[in-house]
Amino acid sequence: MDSVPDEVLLDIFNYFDGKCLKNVMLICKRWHSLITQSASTMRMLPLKYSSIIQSDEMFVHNFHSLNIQHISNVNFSKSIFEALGNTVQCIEISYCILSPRDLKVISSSFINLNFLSLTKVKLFKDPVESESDILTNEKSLILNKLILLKVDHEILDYMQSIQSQKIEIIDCHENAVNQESLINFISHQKHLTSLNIGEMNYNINVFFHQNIAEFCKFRLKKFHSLFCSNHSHVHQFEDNFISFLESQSKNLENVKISGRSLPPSIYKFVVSSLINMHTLEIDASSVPQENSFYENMARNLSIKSLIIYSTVTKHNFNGLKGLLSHYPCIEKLNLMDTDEFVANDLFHSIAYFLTNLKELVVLNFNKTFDPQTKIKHLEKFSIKIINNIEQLLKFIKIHDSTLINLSIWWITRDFESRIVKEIISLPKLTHLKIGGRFIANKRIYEVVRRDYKNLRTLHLIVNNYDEVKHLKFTFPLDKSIYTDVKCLYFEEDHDREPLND
Amino acid sequence: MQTIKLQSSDNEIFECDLAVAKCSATIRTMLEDLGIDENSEDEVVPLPNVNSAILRKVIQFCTYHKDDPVPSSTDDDENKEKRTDDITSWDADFLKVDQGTLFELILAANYLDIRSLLDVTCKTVANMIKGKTPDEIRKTFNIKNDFTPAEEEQVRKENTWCEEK
Repeated sequence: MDSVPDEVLLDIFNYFDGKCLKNVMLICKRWHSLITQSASTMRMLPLKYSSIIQSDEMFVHNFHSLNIQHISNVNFSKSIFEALGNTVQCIEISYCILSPRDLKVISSSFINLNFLSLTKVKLFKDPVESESDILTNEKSLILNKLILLKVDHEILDYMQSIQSQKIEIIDCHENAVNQESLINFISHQKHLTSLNIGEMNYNINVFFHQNIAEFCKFRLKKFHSLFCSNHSHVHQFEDNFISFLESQSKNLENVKISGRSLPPSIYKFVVSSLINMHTLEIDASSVPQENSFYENMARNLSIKSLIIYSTVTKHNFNGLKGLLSHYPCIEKLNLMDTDEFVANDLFHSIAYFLTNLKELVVLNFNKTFDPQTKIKHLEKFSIKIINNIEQLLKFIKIHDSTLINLSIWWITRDFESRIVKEIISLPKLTHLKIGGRFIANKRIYEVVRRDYKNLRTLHLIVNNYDEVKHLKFTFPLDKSIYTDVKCLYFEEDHDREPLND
Repeated sequence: MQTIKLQSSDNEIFECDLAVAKCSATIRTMLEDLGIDENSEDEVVPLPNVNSAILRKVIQFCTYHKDDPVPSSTDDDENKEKRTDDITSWDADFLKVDQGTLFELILAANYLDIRSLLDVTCKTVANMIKGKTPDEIRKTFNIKNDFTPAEEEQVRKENTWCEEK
């Protein structure tokens, strides 16, 4: 083996995947240095096809990603970024301590970086490392998405050359420090279109205490925020927050606002003044409940999708009804559960106000709900939990002339073959999606396979304790059953797929 | 049929088909660039790095593969996943040799620049490594572990950053 020249050894190493290379690195010094110094093997080493990034619109599989975890001192070596600088598009760093130098390396060396996620990352400033040791690079990097989850905000001081189109900041409670760094960082963003601030307790107050509207250069399309502060807010916060929303009101299309102790004026502003929104996610209890508020206001025709994530009760029903009357062009409505006093009224209001509604998502039906009113154009219906099958059957039969797509997130044992047959007999239904335990799903598959009628696609979400498998069938049945694997550990199961015949 | 004479390091002369000899890019270059006359009866190509036992095997391999299509170098194999499970049964039988011979074949293939032989021998070695622990690999190839325990620990630690989730 000693006589084998380096280039031949590398030829051999190039047949290995990253996992095998890690073993091979341990063999002897020569092999180790060959692997760590060759661009072709380095390319293999830390790259992992990014199964971790799911469902983000930009990040389908096969992007090269770098995943760094639990390192007390990352200290990016020159060889890493020389070998990977051009290929890595995604970096995830979690539970690490980074130095200012590392952060500069990230922003200046990974020129094709698209996605950066930092989770529980702390900053360590080496007293001996002077500022001049830090690489300076004025060229700015534009990311698609930056996620900061419980990070030390001072880190952002060393990432000033990073721009991102989407930013998510999630800090639970007191963890994040130095809000000035955050404000400074955000206000330098020029390309930002989507900002999601979740659970920023103390900091977000400070964030909006600054008159941030004045120095923001970006134009936000999407703004999601969750306030979980129990502090009573002072006026300055309220005014600054509203002026921020106002400055962005022309661009904002997708808004989510929530938080228990937010002043009502903020909700009023969101409902009445953000006129270009097409998606609004809001808590029904927080919006104004008085009828007069909605009556005196021009209706907003731009909203196409409304997501309500609070239980609808008699205490907030008025507010919800007000929203429905105010947004008559809604095509998609997501609801949580409904309490027994308002269940029937709610559906009546939906049918009455939302004449364009095509898609409805509900958590469940209240047992007092008696489906009588028909939503005229309902094409797509999703229900997460079924309490009463007869009630569901009645509901879908009322809508049999329009219903194309039905999803039931969780079925139980009493979901008999008879019910499946009734569902697939709906004249327009072509897409059916059902989730549940394996046994129940298998029965559905057997029935549909024999008697699919108009049905074109069946999507089963088989849920077996810790694994979830997506099976999609197209009728007439061909062999192209495919599974949509969301996590790595499901893959092992492929061979013993019992539904595959 | 045109033939050519090849001389091994231990001075044995092999007469073989010119087309077979030209599987080797090195021999091809010698003939084309260095002005060795293909038609001369007496011309012998010396191969000082290959002994007769190995040269015999190499000629056997090239004779079998001389009509194989030349793999197109245009489709860049940089990004293609490299497989090691596509060795043909003839090649697998041909490579049922002791480790010493296998490595001599690799060296010969490298020296003579015979891509197909180099590929298949490297794949065979890769297969001998795959799935083994570092200790097993060292034992298989009789490699001395020259890391100090501290260094080995360091390498292991560095490795954790590419650990699968």
